[in-house]
Amino acid sequence: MKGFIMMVVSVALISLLVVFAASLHESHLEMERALAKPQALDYAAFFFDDTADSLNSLLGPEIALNKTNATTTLKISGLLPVKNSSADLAQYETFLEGRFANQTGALADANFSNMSGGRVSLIINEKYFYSADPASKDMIFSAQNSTNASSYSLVVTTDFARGNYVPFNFSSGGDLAVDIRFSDASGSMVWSGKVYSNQQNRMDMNYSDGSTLSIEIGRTHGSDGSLWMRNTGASPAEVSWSAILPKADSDKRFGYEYNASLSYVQGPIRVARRIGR
Amino acid sequence: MKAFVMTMDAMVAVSFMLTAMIMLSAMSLEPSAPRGAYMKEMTLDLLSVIEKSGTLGNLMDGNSTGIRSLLEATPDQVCMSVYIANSTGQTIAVIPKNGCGALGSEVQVASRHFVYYGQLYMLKAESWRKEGVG
Repeated sequence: MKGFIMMVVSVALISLLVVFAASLHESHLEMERALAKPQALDYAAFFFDDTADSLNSLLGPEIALNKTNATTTLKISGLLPVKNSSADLAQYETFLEGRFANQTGALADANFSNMSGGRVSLIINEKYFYSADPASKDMIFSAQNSTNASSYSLVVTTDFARGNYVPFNFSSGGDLAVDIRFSDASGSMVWSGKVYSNQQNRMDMNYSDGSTLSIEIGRTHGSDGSLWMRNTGASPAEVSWSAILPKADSDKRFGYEYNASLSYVQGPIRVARRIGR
Repeated sequence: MKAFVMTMDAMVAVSFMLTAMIMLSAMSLEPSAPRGAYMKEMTLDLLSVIEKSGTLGNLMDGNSTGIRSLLEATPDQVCMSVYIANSTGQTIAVIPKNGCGALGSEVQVASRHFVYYGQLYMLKAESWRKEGVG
């Protein structure tokens, strides 16, 4: 009887050990699963990152944002007019949703409809809007009511000789500093002065190929302190401009987004947002 | 008779004990990072390094030295291969790590995409454990 009791106790203890070991093993597997589960978030991050880079490579423009504790500097460089990238966008959308999504075992849905006609459309720092349209050969930088820009610097480079022009009508009492440099077959020309941000201020520069490069600064397209440019020429001009803007809101995302969205689904992970930096 | 029963009892107990010990030793009791997840992260990291270090541009220009150096810098017990494919899925370059044979039983795959001179490409890396190392 005593032996039997000892055996039962031994068996019970051993069973306890086995159950304990099994549960430890199961918890180890559970930890593995818990570690592996969020990996799809890494894939999603890479997917959005690559898409932002690729879209920028295909459409441009070069964009740089810098902030200090007093101001934000925005710099955008590219061609004017922008090239029509409709075909590139369509091909890219097909590639993302098809071959690449299949390869990564994900479902992707890209929506570039706000950039139809090859228009490059950006939302900067959740407040400003930049759009460059190959059809109307222009670009606009504006905000909801006012950009509150304190200065603009523009550099325009073309291969053609300068013809006649209508310059800005600068006002010493203006609140918006403007610095424009033209570099072309005729050499360089610089204009600097001040304009009123709540008035429309325009200049036109005619070139030997029959094109006109027009610039409006101030109140244009329904927004104060905005910048609009159009180049009617067949050959694009290289345009680089920067704006000094008020200090960025600390609660706003500091960066830019194309007016295009992408949704990504892989397993339990579902991410949908605009494409940008 | 009593001694025989006790001996049998002891043998049964010892058998149980041995069985339990064998089962315990077969189980991995030390928590460690799962091998698959570790390899996957390493594969993703490799692709990031290839992209950010500029070696991808060199490879597209026909110079694979940079990528080979990166592959050789990975741990000895890890085998890796890097593939570049065009937008139709056609492989245009394969760079395997030196000393690695056929794919192992558990292969981790990661893919990214990029634009080079206006053309879409896919960058893929595969990694697996080298047999007989580590």
